[in-house]
Amino acid sequence: MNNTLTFGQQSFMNSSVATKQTAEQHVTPEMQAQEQVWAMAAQKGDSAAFMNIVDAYQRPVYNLCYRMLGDTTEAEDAAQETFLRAYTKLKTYNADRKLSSWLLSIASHYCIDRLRKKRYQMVSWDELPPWQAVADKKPQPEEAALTHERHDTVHQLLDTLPEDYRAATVLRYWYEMSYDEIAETLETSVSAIKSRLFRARQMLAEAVETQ
Amino acid sequence: MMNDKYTEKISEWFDNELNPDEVAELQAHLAGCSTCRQTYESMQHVHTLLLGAAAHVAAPDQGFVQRFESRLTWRQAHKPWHIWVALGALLVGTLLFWSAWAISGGLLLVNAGGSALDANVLYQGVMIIFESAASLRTFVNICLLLWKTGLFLISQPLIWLLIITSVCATWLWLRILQLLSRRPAKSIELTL
Repeated sequence: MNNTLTFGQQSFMNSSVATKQTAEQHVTPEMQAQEQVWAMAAQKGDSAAFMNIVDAYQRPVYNLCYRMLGDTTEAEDAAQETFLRAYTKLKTYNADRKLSSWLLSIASHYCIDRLRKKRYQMVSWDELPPWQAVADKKPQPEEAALTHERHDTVHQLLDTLPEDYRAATVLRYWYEMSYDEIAETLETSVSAIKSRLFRARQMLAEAVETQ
Repeated sequence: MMNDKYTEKISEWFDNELNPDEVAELQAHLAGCSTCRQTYESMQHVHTLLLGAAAHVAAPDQGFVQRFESRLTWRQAHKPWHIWVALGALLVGTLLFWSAWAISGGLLLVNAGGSALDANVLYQGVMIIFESAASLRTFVNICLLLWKTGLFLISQPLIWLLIITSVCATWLWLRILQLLSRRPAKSIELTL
């Protein structure tokens, strides 16, 4: 039995190391120092410095939005909105905090709000009537290219989770954040994060079984 | 026998949040508990799936920064206009809302001698509130006062019309504002 368990844990450790390269985004101390310089310059009104921040963090922010919302168009919109919010809130940014953590926090909250609104949203004025929507539904080239992504098992699984659980899961797996970091990003307690991740795994395991 | 304490520990184990003693305890428990072992295996499967998916970091299409710059410029250019629309909507909504109440007050005075509500009752009610704020009688009187006011208002279709109109006007303005504050028109993006 011990062998089996050790093997299981070992495979998990190996996989964890394999993802570290992509999720951590290779943030070196030099980069962090550079980001602080940009952040301070942006706080003083230097919009070029802010564009450097956007350029540096477009991918992690977009990735978070994409994993949360599950749609490329929505992810683009949410990522841009995240940076707009960051721009308007620049004065409140505390240099003691990691810039990436601050941006991801804004993105997480925005996506959670967006998903909640979507859940309770009634028929929108700018939505096409059903018959027109069906008639206009042509397969776009980009849609075809992303079909495999959309039908990705993991995406479908993530969709089954409540917004808060999904955010904690994405931050844990795609950004390899610790419980403390996730709690700081989502502005909640460590015990809440522990519980969310546990419940998320339980729900995902149940979803896998029903698939 | 499955134990919530251990199933939670399994989750923490995946996150490397257990110390060696806790890991040893969990492993010993898993060795003798088939239900927890099953939970471990199903969670392990999910964990592996997620780790595999996390290897792929999605990236936006080329030109994200330029699109953002354009959007920021658009937002900044339209900001003052939005403020004026918001203030206008607020002003119109507030004026309509309070005018409804002002007219209702006027009608109240006009009908003071009527059967629905006497102005003296209103005055007495207010005085009672100040004189014996904590007493049950006050509470009953307040309820009575509200009840009578309500009855009076219900009996006045004009007041209802004004209230409904003001609420609808406010809602419409807010809705227009919401639509206008959305992302810039597609033509802006297409020019990039």
